[in-house]
Amino acid sequence: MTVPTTVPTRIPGEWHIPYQYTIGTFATAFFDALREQRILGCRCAQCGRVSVPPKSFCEYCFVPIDELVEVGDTGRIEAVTVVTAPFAGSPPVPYVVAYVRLAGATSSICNYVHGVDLGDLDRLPADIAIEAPVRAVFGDKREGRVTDFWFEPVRDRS
Amino acid sequence: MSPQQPAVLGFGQTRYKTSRADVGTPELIFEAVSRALADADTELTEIDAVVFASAPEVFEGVYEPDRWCVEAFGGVGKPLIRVHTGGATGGSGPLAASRLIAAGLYETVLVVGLQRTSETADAQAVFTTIFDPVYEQDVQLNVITGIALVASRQMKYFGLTEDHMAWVSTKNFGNALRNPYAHLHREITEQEVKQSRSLAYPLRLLHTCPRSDGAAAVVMTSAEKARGKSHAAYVAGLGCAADVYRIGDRIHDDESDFAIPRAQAWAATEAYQEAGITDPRRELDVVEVYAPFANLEIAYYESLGLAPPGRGIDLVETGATAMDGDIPVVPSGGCMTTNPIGATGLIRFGEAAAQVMGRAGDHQVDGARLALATACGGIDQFYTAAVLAAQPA
Repeated sequence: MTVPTTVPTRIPGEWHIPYQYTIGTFATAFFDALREQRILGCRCAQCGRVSVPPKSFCEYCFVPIDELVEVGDTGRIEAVTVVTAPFAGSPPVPYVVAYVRLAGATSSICNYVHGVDLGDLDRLPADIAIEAPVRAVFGDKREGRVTDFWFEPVRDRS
Repeated sequence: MSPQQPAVLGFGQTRYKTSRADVGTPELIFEAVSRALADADTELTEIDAVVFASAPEVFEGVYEPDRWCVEAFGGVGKPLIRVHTGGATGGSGPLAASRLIAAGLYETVLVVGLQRTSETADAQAVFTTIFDPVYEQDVQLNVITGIALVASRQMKYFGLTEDHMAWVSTKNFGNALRNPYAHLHREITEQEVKQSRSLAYPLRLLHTCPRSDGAAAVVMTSAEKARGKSHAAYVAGLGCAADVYRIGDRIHDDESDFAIPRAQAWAATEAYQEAGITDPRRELDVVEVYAPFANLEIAYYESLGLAPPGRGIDLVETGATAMDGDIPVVPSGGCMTTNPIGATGLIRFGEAAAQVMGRAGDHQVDGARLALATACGGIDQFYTAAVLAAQPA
């Protein structure tokens, strides 16, 4: 008997595997501080880089880090996009995602940017252009996740 | 480059489609491997080891697809090595095989690349899982948003415009029309690119790549053994490099900018050094770059030393990377028209080898003697570069 040339069947499958990620003491301290509306980085004693969010070792010097520092709640946008196509699990479009270098930090942290007029999606709004100042704003209900805060444009540039 | 120079004997690829609903996954592998062995005029019994390059397996939905596909690539009873560097896996595969051959461990090595992106409903849901679960996943980053962030810096600091991106898309789709294996065969205009659906500013649908099902395979051996064959390409130089995990740790410093991926430059520099290339723009005849987005191709012009820093857009404005330019980039149409992710780097490698063998068919670059193939993975984190030459060293 020859093999029939009809389109073969597909069989449904699913991966659903829950995890509990062990995050270490530095990330734990970072999330605990978020509950108190503070943003922590770490300082490498050897090179002085201030990494936000913090990590327990410096990848440049390859030495352990033992100092946490609080960084400012304002910073400048370093990379930005306005997401207009919905992806699985994403918030309703359009929304803004940006990497921001906070005052005192030498690296950038990613988060949503709220409080932006997204009426014209053919151009990037000026208040979220790269180098534009933003401020971290904390929600009332904080659960020790990176989404406990978001960024908003700083309109008062005095 | 080394005591035993590696060579490419043959390249086989499947037809690429959104869904290869006609075959199961091992059958897809069998299709590519059979063609590669035939192209290489090599029997399976001559294969001393297999390098299996597949990633990420979340797409196939089978953990350890190397187990699943072992018979289909003729791996039973042979040494098997699996490599995994995200999207760069297909570039890391031939690199690993080359080093094994150069070291004299195995003489003839089969490299196999696989990806079925059609089995899952949402590719970006898969890609979200490659981000840091502690700090980054809550913000729902994915490949498209990640590359849009790269583009934002290119536009701010490196002169990139929608016009440049539209030109690259149109060029690559046009090239794909001459490649019978390409997934997308569709003539597009720059106007269509600019009017295509916005995904994440400034990226639009026609700046991106399709999701493709497909597999590819390459047969490699020592230069010594290759001399007895009717055709071969010779590996002149190789490089690979990894960058830091978190995007926020590599946006910019005194020496680099996220807009011009530095790890691609590290990998290319190593490959050029090994190949003795000092002026890639003049010495290379053709480039098969792994750039799934139009803006990335322009960034790589600079990472790969084809344009001076900040001048990648010049290659667009002068048309240098078009099929009739002095340095054609992705004559095959590249991964903007065909992207079975884990296999894509191996397709670039196979295409570059085919070019210097003069076997690239309708998309052959006349007289190509020296070709570069690259691969990238992990949101600009893992990179490879390989220089293929028509003649042994």
